[in-house]
Amino acid sequence: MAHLNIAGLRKAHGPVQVIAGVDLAVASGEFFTLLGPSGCGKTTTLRCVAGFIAPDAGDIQVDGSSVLAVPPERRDFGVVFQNYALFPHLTVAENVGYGLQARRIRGEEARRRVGEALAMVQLFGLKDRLPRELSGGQQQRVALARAIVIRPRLLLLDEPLANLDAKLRHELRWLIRDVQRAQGITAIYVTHDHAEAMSLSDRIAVMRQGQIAQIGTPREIYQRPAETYVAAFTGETNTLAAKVIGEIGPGRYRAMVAGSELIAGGPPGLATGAERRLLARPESLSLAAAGKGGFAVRVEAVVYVGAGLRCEMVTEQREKLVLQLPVQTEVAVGSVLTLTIDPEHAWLMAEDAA
Amino acid sequence: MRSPWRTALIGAPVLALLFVFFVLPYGEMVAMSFRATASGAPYGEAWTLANYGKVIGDPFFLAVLSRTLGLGALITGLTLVLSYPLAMHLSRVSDRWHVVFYAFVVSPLLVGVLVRNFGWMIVVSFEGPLNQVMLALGLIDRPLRLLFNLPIVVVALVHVFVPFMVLPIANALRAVEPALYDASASLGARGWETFLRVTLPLSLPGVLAGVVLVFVLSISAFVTPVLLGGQTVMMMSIIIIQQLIGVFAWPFGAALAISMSVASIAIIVLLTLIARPLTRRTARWS
Repeated sequence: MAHLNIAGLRKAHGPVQVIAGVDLAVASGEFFTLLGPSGCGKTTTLRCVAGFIAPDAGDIQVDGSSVLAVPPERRDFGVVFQNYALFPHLTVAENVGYGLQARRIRGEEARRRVGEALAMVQLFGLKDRLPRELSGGQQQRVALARAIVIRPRLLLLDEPLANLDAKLRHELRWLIRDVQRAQGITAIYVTHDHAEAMSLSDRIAVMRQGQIAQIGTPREIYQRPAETYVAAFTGETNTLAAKVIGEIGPGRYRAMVAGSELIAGGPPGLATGAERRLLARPESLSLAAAGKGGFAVRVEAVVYVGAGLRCEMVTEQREKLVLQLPVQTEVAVGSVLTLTIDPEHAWLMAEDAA
Repeated sequence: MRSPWRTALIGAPVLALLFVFFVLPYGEMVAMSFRATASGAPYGEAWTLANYGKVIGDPFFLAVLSRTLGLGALITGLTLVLSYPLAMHLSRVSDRWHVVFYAFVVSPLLVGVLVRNFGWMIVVSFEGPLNQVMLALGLIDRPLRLLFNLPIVVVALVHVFVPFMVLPIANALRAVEPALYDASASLGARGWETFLRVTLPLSLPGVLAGVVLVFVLSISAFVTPVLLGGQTVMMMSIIIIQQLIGVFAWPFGAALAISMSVASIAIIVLLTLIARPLTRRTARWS
């Protein structure tokens, strides 16, 4: 159990500022995810924490003391790599036991702990195999066992599921979460997959160009993104131009959207007349019952996707919307419909800064 | 159609070349080593084991053989120790610099064998630049006799064999995934422990290739021992040439050559056999 604090972290690679001032605090036992597209600095941040690279500026503290002067071999962090990084010349048991050997833990205790770690990742009867004789999923289980057997202060995972197919990805996702919970290890997880981040994390930091765009629980990030970038990176998104008409309660606003008035949430203190973007996730949009308000849209395209009909629509202001309707809905291309937005799930965001 | 014959066809020209210029002469030499010596002809009609009897029976030839193998081991060992760090560096430089270092490493091979050895003779001779520089620096009072002894032969051979050791080791090291070093460090292994448990065992196939190449090249070296060693360095290759060209004892010369081949093949087989268990052994924590 350990807590992590990162303050003012910066790292440049040549002319590129890979990390441009990252501050974050991870609580003991928390599952914390760095989410962002490739090149946003999430892996570099993780590698700084692991000690593989030294930051140019800033501090990394674990349990209140800086680890910057501590070499990686004495940080006591378990690391799981995207490409597994198992030692190809060592058996499964020797790979898992590597960290114990380095700590001079030998004999019966080492054997027992290797066995426990392998049981925890549900690998049985493979301990004398070489990595190349295992599937990708099995290899990543070994890598996870190898990282937790040393009882690390932090568990660092760098896109551990990126090389696996969809089915294994799901299986291993739950395994990682179970192991992290059972051990109560503080975990930092790096991924570009929002679904992975949502389902695993206690909190998520969405990163953009070396900085943190927003930190919050999966629910906050998804439903109340600070800006359009965060919304776009955390799931399917519709955004519409919105103008604040007035505040009707703390964080509740009346706003003009697509030619009609509606109620939406937003950060406190928005001024009347402020230009914002309204976030409407596809699942918060629905067809309005006749005479019940809402705004008009014209159907541009309808695609049958099995679970429903995926419809592309445009408002009178030529803004595009995508939503999924039940299969039995009668929609024809070119027809004009009225849509409403669930006010609980409508959110006024800042325009993307970049 | 993909038949083994088609692939054989592709290799045919080289196979033919090898057959005519390697297998046939070698067979001829093996046969010759069992023939009696004759005057006026390369060898006599009679078959005999006497040549091998002489190789094994005469302490002089056995001494030269073991000295040659020992010298080969020494040169191989020195080349390995000098080449390994260079190979590690070569395997880590960026692609842009890789070509430059590559050219630098193979540079000894860009000069022909005679030119290179005459070059050494000039550099280390009594009035040569090396002595001049050392005199000028006040390191020595009078010129040193550096030529025609064993050390200069060893130095010159190590110099030219370095590329044969560096390249296979660097290739093996380049194939090691860099994340393994990070993984090892994150698991608590210090630098030298990572070297012993990860770097070294994973490079052993390259080390084996380099060791075999350099060993074979050193025990069969001829020009360098003759030119730089003068009369002081007796190696198997020199004795064999003496027998063939000096004494015209072709069958005995052939027997000496075959004996040396058998000895070196035995050593190579032994090295290959211990390489795998050695990989496992080095990787294990004591």
